[in-house]
Amino acid sequence: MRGIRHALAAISAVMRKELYSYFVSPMAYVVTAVFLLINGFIFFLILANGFAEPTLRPLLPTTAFLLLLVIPVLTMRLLAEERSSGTVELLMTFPLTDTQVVLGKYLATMVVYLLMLVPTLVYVAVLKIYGNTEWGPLLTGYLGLILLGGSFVAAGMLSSSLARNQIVAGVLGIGILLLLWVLGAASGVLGPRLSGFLAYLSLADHFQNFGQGVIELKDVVFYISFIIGALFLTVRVFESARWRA
Amino acid sequence: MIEVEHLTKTFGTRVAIQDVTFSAARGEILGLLGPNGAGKTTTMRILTGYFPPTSGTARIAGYDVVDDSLEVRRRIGYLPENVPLYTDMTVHAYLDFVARAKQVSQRRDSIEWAMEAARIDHVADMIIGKLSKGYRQRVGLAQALIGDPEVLILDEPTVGLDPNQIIETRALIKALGGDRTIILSTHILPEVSMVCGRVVIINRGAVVAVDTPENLTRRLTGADRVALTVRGPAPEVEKSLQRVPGVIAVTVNPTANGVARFEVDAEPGRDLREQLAAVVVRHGWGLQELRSQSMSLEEIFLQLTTSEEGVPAA
Repeated sequence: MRGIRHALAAISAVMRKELYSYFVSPMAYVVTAVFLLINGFIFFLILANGFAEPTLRPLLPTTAFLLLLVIPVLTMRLLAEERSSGTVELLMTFPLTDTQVVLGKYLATMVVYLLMLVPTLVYVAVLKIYGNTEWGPLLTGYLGLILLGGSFVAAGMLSSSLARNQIVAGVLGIGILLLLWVLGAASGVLGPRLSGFLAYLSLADHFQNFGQGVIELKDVVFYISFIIGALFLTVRVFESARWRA
Repeated sequence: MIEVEHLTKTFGTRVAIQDVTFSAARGEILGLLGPNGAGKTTTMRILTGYFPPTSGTARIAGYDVVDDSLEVRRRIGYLPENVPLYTDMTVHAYLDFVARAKQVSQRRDSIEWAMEAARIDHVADMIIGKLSKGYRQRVGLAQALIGDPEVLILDEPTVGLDPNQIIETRALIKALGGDRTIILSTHILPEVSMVCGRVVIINRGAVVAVDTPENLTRRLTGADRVALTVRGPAPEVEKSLQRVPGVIAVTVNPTANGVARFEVDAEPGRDLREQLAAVVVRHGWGLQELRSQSMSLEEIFLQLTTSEEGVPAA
């Protein structure tokens, strides 16, 4: 019991510090502004074109793709900066485990990400007021966005642990996510067995159901495993810095 | 309190430290003295659990730095050489993070005490990135003091400070000793004699000497034993050398062609090199070599007597 309390205190210490850094640097604000501006513009276009169905569904793929581009920018400094500036030396000699450090940073970024999504509730309000949208697809859409964003953040952290240079970490993150995004497109070319497997790995394919208001267990399991897997690898890479130092 | 045994660390093929052994008792202020690149920082990084040694063991308060790394890290305060701080945070916010990370129970008191000790209470709300090098060094020191750890590991704590700050910092370190065990590294010889009770001299990754500053200074400045290589009749040379005032004993190791090696023991603290050379030359013998046996230490000493302009002995 005491061990758990200690671990939570350690994670929250890292999380608070990371949130502090997010809010004093312009990066989080710029990323949020860019995301909201472009996303809002697409939403406006969809409405202006008089789309038949008043739901979030036509907007979601665009939102997801935008997130794919902006989240690695948010995560790129998380671990790369610690290493390039040398602060990792003190961090690693504090009584914190490497897992606690990675989780603290992950949770802080998730908080920033969720705050970034909050203004998009305006779309929900618009849809609710001017159309009679059902709550179901809206809620599943947001659940999908949270899981998808969570996966992006985890992959972004993994790339930040791999590179020492922030920019490299950012480009690597976007690259990894783009690759996982387009994997589904390989179906039909590579034969049924392999393409099925690749499609299963595709981040985009699992996202589709959420927009239709359907929560499939396999999709939820996929995203959660993806997050845990990426964070696990991040801890491993971060740890290995000790041996490579 | 601190036991270091046969510590070796290699980076690829480069040997950073080799077979380093020393210990520090509770309350002791131990100085790691050596030229830049001698392996002081490597030793400290192993002690703080930043990276593991290639071989050998180190224990702090009975805990192994590799197997019980977290227990060790709960008990130490560490000031790294380049003082890596989060430059986007204010001093107070940073120290608050450190206190939380170390899970200090009386957070506010601990932060206040550390800021007062390091004399940074008046810059508490400044952003670290805007502070001068001297202030950053002090923030680093305050950070190490958070939670009042029983062991302090300070890597070059006075580097980058101005003369007054150096004196203040040395006084602070001395005051912190007593119930805390402190290891500090430096490449400045006078600093060691002012602050430390005992010194470990490291050169090229190996421990060269462990002693009190007083004994070391004596050993370093006095050439207690002198080795000579002389061409001439060995028994007569030996007799003449014996007669030089201050000589205690002479041993002869004859080599070929009328050349012999002599080892002359002098009274402690007396440098007889010039007198010995004069005697040999006066008799017309060939003086091929003359050197002080503690030369290796002396060489280090020369590198260590970095002049500190403007810093009066505190």
